[in-house]
Amino acid sequence: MQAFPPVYKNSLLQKMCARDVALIEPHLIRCAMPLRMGIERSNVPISSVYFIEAGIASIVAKHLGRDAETGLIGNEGMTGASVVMGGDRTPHECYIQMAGEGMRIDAGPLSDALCKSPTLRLFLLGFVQSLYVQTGFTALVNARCNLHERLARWLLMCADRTTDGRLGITHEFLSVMLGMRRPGVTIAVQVLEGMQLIRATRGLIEIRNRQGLEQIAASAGYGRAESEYGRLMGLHPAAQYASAQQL
Amino acid sequence: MPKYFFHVRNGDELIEDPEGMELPNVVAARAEATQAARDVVAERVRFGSNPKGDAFEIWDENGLIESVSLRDSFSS
Repeated sequence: MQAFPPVYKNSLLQKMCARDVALIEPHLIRCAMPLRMGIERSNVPISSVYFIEAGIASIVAKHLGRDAETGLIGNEGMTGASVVMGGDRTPHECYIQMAGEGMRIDAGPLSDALCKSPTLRLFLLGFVQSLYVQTGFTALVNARCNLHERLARWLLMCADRTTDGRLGITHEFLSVMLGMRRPGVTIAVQVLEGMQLIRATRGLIEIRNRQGLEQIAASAGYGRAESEYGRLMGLHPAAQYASAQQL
Repeated sequence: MPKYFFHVRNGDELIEDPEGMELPNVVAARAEATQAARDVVAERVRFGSNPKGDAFEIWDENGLIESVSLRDSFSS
């Protein structure tokens, strides 16, 4: 049993061993993460890495004006996978899609800590592996699943990374997540709304029936990347939330 | 840039685009609606699913500008 509530709301910082936390703690700065804040730019050396405490960051592949989301990160994870793997940049971009806050560490001190501590590197590589698996399932659903199954999966992924069932998601974000033009998003949202699973208002989506949404998202592989996270990192925050609700 | 709304016409029903989108002009808005309509038609063809909608109606603050039929979107 824990004597004190955890200092950090980020799962990686909560699960990290005390020695490794002590190694990076002096370099961590709490900061706000407003909507559209840029975290990584294509092929530009990464300056800072964020352990997200609230909100959602999105990894986006862009080419010739087309973009698609390839990774979603919230309070279960961190940005800067390239840094953990020993690199300093990526062709992808990373920015905030749902405003929140996080603990920032500059790439330099993090790289130093990763070189000093093999346990820190292995621990964070576990998260990178789970993110890699998430990207794999995103590729699968984009190729094989219909629109409302994809939307249901993404809404649950967002809900798992927030504390209540109300998601501050714009249609613009949904458009990138679903890899479709923005006007089409209205139709996708309407499908789930018509099934009474969500309620959408301007800039806000409220989940009305999580179980129903899970049934649809299951055909889009929802739960597979989450299980991999659980296997590698311990219980997924969503699972913790679900078990807390059952008490 | 002007803001355009892409409401979805479904028979007598109009499903509103709550946010709208800033675009340089109506030509860009029409291109956006046409491409989105193709996305939706492609979805219907690939999966046999039938999300609602007959057309995207492009609106600005003054009202309806034009309608882009989903059915005709791939022939233009």
